Amino acid sequence: MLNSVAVVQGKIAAGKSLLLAGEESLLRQLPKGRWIAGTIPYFMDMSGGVHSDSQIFVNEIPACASAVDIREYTTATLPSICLEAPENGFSIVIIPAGSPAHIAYAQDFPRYEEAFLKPVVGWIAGVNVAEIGTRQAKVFTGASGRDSAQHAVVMHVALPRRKHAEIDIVNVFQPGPGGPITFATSGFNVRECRINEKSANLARYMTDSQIDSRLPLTANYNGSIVNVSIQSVDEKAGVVNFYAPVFAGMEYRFAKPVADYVAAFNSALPADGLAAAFSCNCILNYLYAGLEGKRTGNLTGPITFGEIAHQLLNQTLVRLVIRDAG
Amino acid sequence: MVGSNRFWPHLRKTRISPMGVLVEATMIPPITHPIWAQVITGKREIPPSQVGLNMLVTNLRLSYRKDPSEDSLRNLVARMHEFFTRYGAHYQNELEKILGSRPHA
Repeated sequence: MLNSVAVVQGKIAAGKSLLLAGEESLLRQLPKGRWIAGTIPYFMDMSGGVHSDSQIFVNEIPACASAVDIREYTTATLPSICLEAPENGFSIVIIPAGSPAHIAYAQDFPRYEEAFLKPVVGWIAGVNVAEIGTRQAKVFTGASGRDSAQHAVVMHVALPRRKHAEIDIVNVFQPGPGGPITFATSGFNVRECRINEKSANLARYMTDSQIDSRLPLTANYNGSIVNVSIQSVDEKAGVVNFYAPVFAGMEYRFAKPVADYVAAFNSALPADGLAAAFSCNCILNYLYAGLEGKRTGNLTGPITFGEIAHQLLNQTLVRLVIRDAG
Repeated sequence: MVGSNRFWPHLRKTRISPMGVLVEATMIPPITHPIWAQVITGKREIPPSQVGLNMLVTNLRLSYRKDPSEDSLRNLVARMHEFFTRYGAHYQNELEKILGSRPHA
């Protein structure tokens, strides 16, 4: 939940292991300790979506955790993130938006050794949307006191054998009726594609078909719908830029419009009533669905520039829960 | 019985869960068992499951389509088998359904 700087300083002094999110100027006031953080001023709090420049969002690592290990990763070391994760537990990764680590993780995670074999969740740090392009997102490593606009920071959390971590995603978008779209190459921007097995320029197709660019492309991963959101459409240059990469060989479809995001979200929430050890939601959901002041179930956390549930996702809520094992 | 694993009844066993309870479970078929390759090549369906398994299966199938060589298939099968070796206790329903389904022609 949201706390003042003084309260967070107290939690750090008490030796708690913390995941933090907040404005850079607030995070700079924190002492060294067992915490990692990313910059962002948007949150889902108990009262609903909120923009705060004066408070820090705090996730305390559950008391059942048996060990916590904080590490920084460069693009060179990111591929070992899963190998270095505990055999039983979970890893939380925070990456600055637009950084080399962001691009590398998004494009390469499926090829990392032991990818998908251990739970990895996290988020992309950002800035006030009014300051995009003028300020850099950053991550902080409390253990060393360092910050970075280039690298990822990870908290690996080990759990005892009687517990295990599980990841859920909540996505209100469903594939629409349009034909499947495929790409010859993977990446964050595209020109040409195939739509209904015919060559096409995606930017032109979106303009001609009057597709609402707030609707993401969706891909069906064996029943899990994964979104790739549209950052910009440059019809003149014939280029579409995305907030996450599309992958060659996957089939995508534009999502159906969602009439009432909050109602759709609340009906899509898991009904198990389990408290989340961590959750985050997307800045695009916050902006496009007008979530300021609106509650989305009882889930709280940062509202981010990208969500991580193993892979990088867009316009999706991610939840990590700790269950009793078998 | 956890499910109706009528095709591979020998793959049943009992185990002690981490909570100390004796439970009946489906054994993880060995890495050489044909079901793993059939899942990767899309000849055998795997039911929708948790997001991690769904992403793993989809990415392995995507990798196979890009490189359908025997070496590639062997590596992809190893990754799928490793997942079930680690988490088979949590994915009994999925395992039952994979084993209980018939492969496509």
